[in-house]
Amino acid sequence: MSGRDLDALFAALGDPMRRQVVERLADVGAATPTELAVTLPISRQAVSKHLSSLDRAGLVERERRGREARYHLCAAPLTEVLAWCARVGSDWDRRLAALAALAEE
Amino acid sequence: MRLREGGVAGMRRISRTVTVAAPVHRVWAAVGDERSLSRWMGAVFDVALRPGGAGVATLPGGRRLVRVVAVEPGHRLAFRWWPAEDRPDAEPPSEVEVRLRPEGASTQVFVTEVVLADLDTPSAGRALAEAGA
Repeated sequence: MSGRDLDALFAALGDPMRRQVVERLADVGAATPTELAVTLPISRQAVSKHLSSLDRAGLVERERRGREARYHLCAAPLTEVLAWCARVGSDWDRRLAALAALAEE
Repeated sequence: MRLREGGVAGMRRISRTVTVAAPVHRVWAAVGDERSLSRWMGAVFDVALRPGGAGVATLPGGRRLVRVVAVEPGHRLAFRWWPAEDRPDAEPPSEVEVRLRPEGASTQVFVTEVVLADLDTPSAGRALAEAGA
């Protein structure tokens, strides 16, 4: 564990619309709030708010180019979240094997 | 960038299913009793397994506070747990559900662990503790 706050990362991913923003960015690579708002059922202002939350959690990075900031995903924290999922998954694999062994004794 | 199957929502829910070659009452004996539960969970559960029961689970990686959500004998155990210490590398609070379903002389065991963290409930672990969730 690198010391990154998993709780904060998961909290940022706790909102369904914020998750859609993340998924959209994963698909397109980088986008402005206006571009994202075209494909999501929320306003550009709402998209910007979600992006700010994701930015605070370190999940996205903004670069100013032209009139509007463009956002892209940061791979490192997402990789960390995926590693947590893998770890918890293997914990359960081990536990369920132990449960089977105990019940089948 | 490739996300996990099931998208980001899939990152918040871990599910497993196994078939145990023992009848439901035997599997439940290992699930619904805190001492037996501790034997296979790899954690020492110091908590009364009844709805609302609160206590501590001691894991190799640290202590977690536990709140029992549901106990349906022979069918389902559900609890929430979260790190007991507020550390900078805190893991998120989550809800675990273990469900049993008879399948002939065997038992199907379904486990889900769902992350509860949400920005609307900051410091989710402590909020849960305070709300008695």
